[in-house]
Amino acid sequence: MTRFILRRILTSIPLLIGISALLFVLMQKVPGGPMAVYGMNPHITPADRARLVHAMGLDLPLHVQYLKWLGSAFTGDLGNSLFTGRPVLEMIAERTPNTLVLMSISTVVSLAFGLALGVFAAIKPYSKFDYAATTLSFLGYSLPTFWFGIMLMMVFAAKFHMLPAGGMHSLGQEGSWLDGIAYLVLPVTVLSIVSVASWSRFMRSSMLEVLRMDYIRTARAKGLAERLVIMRHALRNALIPVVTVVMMAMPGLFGGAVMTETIFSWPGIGRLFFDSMGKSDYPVMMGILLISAGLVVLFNLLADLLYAMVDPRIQLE
Amino acid sequence: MALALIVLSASACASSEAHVGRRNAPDTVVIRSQQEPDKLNKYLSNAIAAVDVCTPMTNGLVGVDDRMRYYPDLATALPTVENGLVRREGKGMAVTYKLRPNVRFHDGAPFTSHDVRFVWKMHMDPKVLVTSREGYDKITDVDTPDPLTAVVHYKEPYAPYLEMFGTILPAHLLEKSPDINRDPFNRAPVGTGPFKFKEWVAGDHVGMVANPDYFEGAPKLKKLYVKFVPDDNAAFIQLANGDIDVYADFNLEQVKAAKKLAHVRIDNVPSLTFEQLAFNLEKPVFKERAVRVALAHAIDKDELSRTLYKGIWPVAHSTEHPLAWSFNPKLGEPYPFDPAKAREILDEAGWKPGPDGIRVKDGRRLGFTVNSTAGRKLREQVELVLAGYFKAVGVEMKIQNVEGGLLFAGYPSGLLNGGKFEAALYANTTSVDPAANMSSWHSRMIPPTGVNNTRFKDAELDRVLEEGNVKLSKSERQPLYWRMSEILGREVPTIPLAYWTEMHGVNRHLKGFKGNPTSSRFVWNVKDWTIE
Repeated sequence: MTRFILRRILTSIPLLIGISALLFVLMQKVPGGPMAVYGMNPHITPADRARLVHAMGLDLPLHVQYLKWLGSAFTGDLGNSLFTGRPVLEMIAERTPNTLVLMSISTVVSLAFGLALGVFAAIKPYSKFDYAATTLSFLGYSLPTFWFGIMLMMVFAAKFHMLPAGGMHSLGQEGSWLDGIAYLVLPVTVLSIVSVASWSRFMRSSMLEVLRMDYIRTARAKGLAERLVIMRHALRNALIPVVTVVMMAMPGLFGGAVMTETIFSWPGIGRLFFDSMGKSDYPVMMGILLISAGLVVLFNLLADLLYAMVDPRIQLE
Repeated sequence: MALALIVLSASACASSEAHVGRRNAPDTVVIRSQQEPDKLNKYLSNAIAAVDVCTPMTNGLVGVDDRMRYYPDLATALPTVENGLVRREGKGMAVTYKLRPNVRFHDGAPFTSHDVRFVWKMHMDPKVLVTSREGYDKITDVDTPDPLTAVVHYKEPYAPYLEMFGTILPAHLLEKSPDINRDPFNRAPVGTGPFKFKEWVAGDHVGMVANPDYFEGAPKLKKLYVKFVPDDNAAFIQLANGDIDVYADFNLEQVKAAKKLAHVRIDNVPSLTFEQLAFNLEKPVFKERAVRVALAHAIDKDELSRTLYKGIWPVAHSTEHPLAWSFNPKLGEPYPFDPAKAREILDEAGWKPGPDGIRVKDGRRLGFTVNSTAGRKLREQVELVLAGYFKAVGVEMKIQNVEGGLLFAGYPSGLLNGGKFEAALYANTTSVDPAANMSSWHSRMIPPTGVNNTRFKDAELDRVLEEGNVKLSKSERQPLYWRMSEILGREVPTIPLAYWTEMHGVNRHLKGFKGNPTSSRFVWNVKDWTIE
């Protein structure tokens, strides 16, 4: 087991370096670049521009820029933002709690609703409940976040003044829990509805498959109560593949939801990434992407380990 | 889930009935900013958001009011040639500022001429990443004969001297900084302004509180917030909901909806930015003046202004703004809408209609491609209408829109600056002082040296612009800039279409709000705002 973990960690290092090199080259090839935001300011002369380009190190050859970045990344320094001049890690760190609050609450909500919905739909397949759940799932899945978020705001904020329209707190009243919760309702709803749809579909098919198994039939034949068959035998086994999928979704908690965070002015990582993209702030984008990639590798490993724990048939060597 | 939503909503809306179009406390104003500033130091930032956040906390030596007039701010008088505070000095000039006494920074330290000197020193420090050194690079020294006098020495006459020192920074906090670019000051500034910095919650807002010791008396509001709301639709709902009191920079599409909000008034402010169709004079098709003149005659600017610009953006015939003293009132409309005249001019120039209606000369079709910013619906509509106007006189215009970053990037990769365009539809911004025209129109400023993107060359205009930069009195400079407009009007390197109008949605309870067409923006008089 230890050898397996060590091997996985070691092989992930070249993988992450490869990913970072690819990202670096891709970003630099996008037209515009970090100086484009200065382009329309008539007071910034070409001499000023040249001075700034040199000071930011943007006039160095691409590979030199990359190696410098990689070198400091190895020491845990992801560089400084081209625009704020602040350490990238610091900028990411101050946004991470906001994103984690939003994403973990909506993950818990959507897992709870999604898994329950999936299980009930699978127990009575092709029933009215199943059809209703399926229809709702597809509806939730196909709702464009952008449109749906705005609609909720129009109704609950602009029309009925029931909920705040965006931000994290009423300005001037930071620290009140109830106030903070009110600001969470709409973004959590938007994020959950989409994921409830996919979790419930996934749970339903996994459960249906398990319910067809011989051991379920055996359990029923023994005269076990249906509730026990479902809870003790079917659900546990049906959850095995779901665990992997849930694990794979975990890195997304860090990255946040770009669209939702933007619409609801939620100061999280997703929005930081979006803003940095608009300004071609390479170091910030690289930082976020690298951490995301690292988390994907990490959670893949965790998923494998967890899989071995819940399913005794799996051997990791 | 729906149930949970309703329960939560009910608990959160306990006080919803109480507000009449506002949700904020009676002494608090919230301004919406689309972007988050990068640094709260106007000299180090290129973001408009930095202006909105920094202005309430700082003062300059000289300010610009809503009628584009300079007024003394931390200076006690506007230095001019007439009052003797501006004088020639060898080949250069000296500008004397008498400073307001008893002004203190938010930390209690007094403001003195040493702070003025520091602003110049900071600009010339090679380690400090100021975005522009324009003007400061012409200063040879700043004398401080006493704490309340600063004498700025320029190596050559510099007409827009009043635009300098627009923000005064505290020397005592910054001059010993090991790295001003990364100094904590940029996240928590200390100024002399009516509001003091309170907090910056990353991604969310900057909070400010009233400065009770402000030299003109404490502001009437107690708290001021600038809230970062990136999405326009979301910001609109927050304005409708009363979460934000000022929604700066409405787009034209939102005005109709905003007019329906009973608690919101729209403040229209003339803008120094104008929409234009600019030509690359190095491309063969635009070397011929007749073609440019014919295109100018072919555009119905009144119709554009009335329909696509919703009657809110007025027609432009000049690159200078009618509010500016450099605007030439005698210029009028050089090329009125007259398609027949346009056809006649092209006929005379030898461009004859071909079989498909597009004109041809020496086997060459009369056509060009226009570049603009992709994703701006309004510009895309204008392009289609322009293509129609031009087709009617036998000119073919193709449309190719690109990402803004590519259009505006610097030399050599940018389409405009790198000369990789034939014609372009975009906006240009002028300054309060017309000297800024130098970089747009002087032949020496053709890229890579400057931003004369149309590659316009005219010996007389070069001379006019050079003189305009060294003459110091308005009465001497005005005829020069009037002449400039005549030359640009005659040669048509660009066709101005309409002046922008900045539209701010303002909660009706907020009194004293006055939009400002200059880069001081609407926050210039924030100390006079009240909530009634």
